[in-house]
Amino acid sequence: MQHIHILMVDDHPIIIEGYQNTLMATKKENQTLVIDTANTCDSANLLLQKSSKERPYDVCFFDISLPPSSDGKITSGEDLAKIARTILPNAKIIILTMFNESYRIHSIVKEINPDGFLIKSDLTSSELAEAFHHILEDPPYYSSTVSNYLKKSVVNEIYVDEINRKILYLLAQGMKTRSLPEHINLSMSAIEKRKKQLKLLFSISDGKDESLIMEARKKGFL
Amino acid sequence: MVKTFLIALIFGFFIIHTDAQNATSQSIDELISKSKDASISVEERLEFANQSVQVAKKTGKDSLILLANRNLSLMYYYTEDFDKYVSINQKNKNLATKLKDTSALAVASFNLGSYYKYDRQNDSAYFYLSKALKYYSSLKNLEQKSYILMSIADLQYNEKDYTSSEANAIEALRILEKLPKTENNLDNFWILYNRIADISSELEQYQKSIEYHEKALEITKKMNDGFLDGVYTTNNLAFVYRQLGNYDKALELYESLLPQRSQYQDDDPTFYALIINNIAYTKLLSGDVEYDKLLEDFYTAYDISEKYDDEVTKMAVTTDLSKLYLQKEQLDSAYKYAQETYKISKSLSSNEYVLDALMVLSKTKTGEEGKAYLYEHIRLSDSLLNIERNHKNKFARIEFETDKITAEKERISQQRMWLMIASAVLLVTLFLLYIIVTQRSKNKELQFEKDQQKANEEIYNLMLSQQDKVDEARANEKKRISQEIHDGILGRLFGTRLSLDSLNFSEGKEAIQNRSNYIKELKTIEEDIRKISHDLNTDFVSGSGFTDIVSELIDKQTKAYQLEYAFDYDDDISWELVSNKDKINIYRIIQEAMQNIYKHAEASKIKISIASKNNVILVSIEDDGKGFDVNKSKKGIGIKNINSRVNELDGTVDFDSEINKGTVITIKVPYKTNP
Repeated sequence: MQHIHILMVDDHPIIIEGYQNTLMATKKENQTLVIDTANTCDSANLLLQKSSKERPYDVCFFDISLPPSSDGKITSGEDLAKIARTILPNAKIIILTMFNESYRIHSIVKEINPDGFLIKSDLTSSELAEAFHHILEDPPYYSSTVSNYLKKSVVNEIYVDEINRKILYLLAQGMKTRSLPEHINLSMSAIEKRKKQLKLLFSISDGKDESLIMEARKKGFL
Repeated sequence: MVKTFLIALIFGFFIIHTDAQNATSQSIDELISKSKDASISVEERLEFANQSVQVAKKTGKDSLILLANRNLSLMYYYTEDFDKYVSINQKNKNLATKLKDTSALAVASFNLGSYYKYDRQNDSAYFYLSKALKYYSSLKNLEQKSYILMSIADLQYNEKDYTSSEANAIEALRILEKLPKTENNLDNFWILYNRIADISSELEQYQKSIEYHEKALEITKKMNDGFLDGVYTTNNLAFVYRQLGNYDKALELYESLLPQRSQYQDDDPTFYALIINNIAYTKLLSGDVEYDKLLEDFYTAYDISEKYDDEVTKMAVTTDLSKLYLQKEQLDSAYKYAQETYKISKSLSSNEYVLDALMVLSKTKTGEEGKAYLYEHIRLSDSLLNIERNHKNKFARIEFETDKITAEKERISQQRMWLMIASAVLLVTLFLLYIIVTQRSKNKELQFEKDQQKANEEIYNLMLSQQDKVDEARANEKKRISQEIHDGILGRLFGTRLSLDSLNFSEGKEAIQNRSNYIKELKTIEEDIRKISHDLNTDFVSGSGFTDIVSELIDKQTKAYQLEYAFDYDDDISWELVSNKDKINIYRIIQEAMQNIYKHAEASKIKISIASKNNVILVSIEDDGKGFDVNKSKKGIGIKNINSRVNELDGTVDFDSEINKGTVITIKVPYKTNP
């Protein structure tokens, strides 16, 4: 009998319910799934800490966008994943996210190097089941969208560093340049400089942010 | 081609023009010289002179007119047309004054003076002659100067102002001394010596008189043509001796003239009569009683004077005769001749003879008749004495008065000058003041415009920043909605889908139950989407921009002015479709109106509303202040400003105010939506 200890974190109970339903319906005969669920960063953190002392989780499902913890130290599933990586070194970490933007995918892969990376929008229950079993036996499992993104940017000769990717991402969100310093730890002039470099890199002739975003999106950086 | 022709034409015209002018001045000269031609008749010469004046008048040049006039004056003199002579000289005098032509002025004054002297208008004569004297003095024309002095001395002598006359005569002599001894000048010497001798004799300075007569006699000897003058002087000298009572000497002188009769008979035929009369009378005075002999001489003299119709000589003869008869006590004859003397002397205005005649007459008649003559004598001599007294300083007076007039004139001209300077200074000051004032008001206007522009800019910026705020709020709202969809709806959809998907693996009642639960969940998601869709449809920020600014303005201003306020506005107006210019004007009108309320109304509450009705934006500003008279206060700056702004908006404004009840300003602006 294989006991698999699982943590599922998502702010929508109905999603956790969906995961549970899927996994329960598709588990193997010899597997017993013990599932803990958390809807907030705080409760998730609590469960992680507790499990590290008692019985470590085998698999953790983290949603990326979560309401931040009450002390503000944990702001997303990414942070939870990082904590899990340190205190539960053997746990398989699966990131499930609505985000399908290239920047986030890159940053998550780089920061966490998760054992599974699934995009909610193109996830079906059978794929989830397949991914779960695949990860248990031979991680990692990245959904096709994720691996496509990763492939595309590896092929691309343009190198865009982390900060520039963030700038592009924030601009694409419709943020104004003057608000960027609030989100990126850089001075206004440094950001302006980087934007200029980016425009040069993507050969934007009209100097418009809009054209930059469009070009970056075309080349798969967003 | 045409140009050259034109230039030639203009040039040609110019030449012709100057030629014409030359021609006229030539023709004037020609006419004048023709009028001086002594070989033609005086009438023709006068005609030429007149023509020259006509031509000169046509040129309109004063100098030419004066030239022609002077010639014409000469012609009037020749033709003895003295009325015209006087009037033309008056004209010339004025022209010369205008042209500052001193020599012409001197001539005209001299002509006038001479004429008046001739006409015995002594005052006028003196006036003009003394003027002429001044002009000739300034021209340094000594000859004329001495001649005029002589004429003035003459005038003064005739008016019995002997001292002045003598002084002028001596002055004239002094000038004459400096001049060459021409015949004419010598003649003048003679006249002057004679004049001084006469004066001395009148003043009973007989020795001096004799002295001057002898000087005169000396002069006649130097003259080429001095015979007649010498004869007269001898006669005069004899008269002085007779006055002195030196009858022998007088007789000797008189009798020396008798043999020379043939030499003066032609020139002065009655002179001989005068001499024999004088001899006879001197003899009578010296106590000769051979009356028959004397009478014979008197009658000879009387006949001669009668024959040549010489009233003056006859008068002298009849006087002396009447005196002889009086002495002889033949009163009838004395009366007869005295009467004759009286008649002649009256007609000649020779007062001394009148007096003599009256004296004789009074003695020829006894009683009342005699007394009557005596009274007449006394009356006449008194009046003469009076006249004499009055005349004594007349010329001094005339001179003084002219001096006074000149001084007055000078004073007036000086006054006028000061007045002119003062008014010029005043004018300049006023002009400068005007410039300063206009400049200042211009500056003020510019400053005002600048301020206005600045205020408008501020409002514009305010509106822009408001727009920014609106835009940002919109963006935030968009983000919020997107987040809501992304995180909430999508998540739940995903969860539901995943669960429904997983239910495919199981069958049975439980599964059906579960499915219906998830389908219910889908329904609530539907509901949420509808809600979000509704949120998207209502633009919560739309239109709030301008009213927000206005409300901020009202809030700030009323706080500063410590007023209570109510602000109502209509959400129906799409302010983003109203032009910025109009919005700025509405904003400014509200600002201005509130300022006015604060400054003048003493209000405690104001109510402002903005509404739209039938495509008109209605702005009303109401206060509970003391109000004002709408008709009287139309000119106030605040009201003017509001009016001009409303005009810019193509709107109308209505001030409705009641004393102590408050004011309502209603502004109607067309709701022009410019896309």
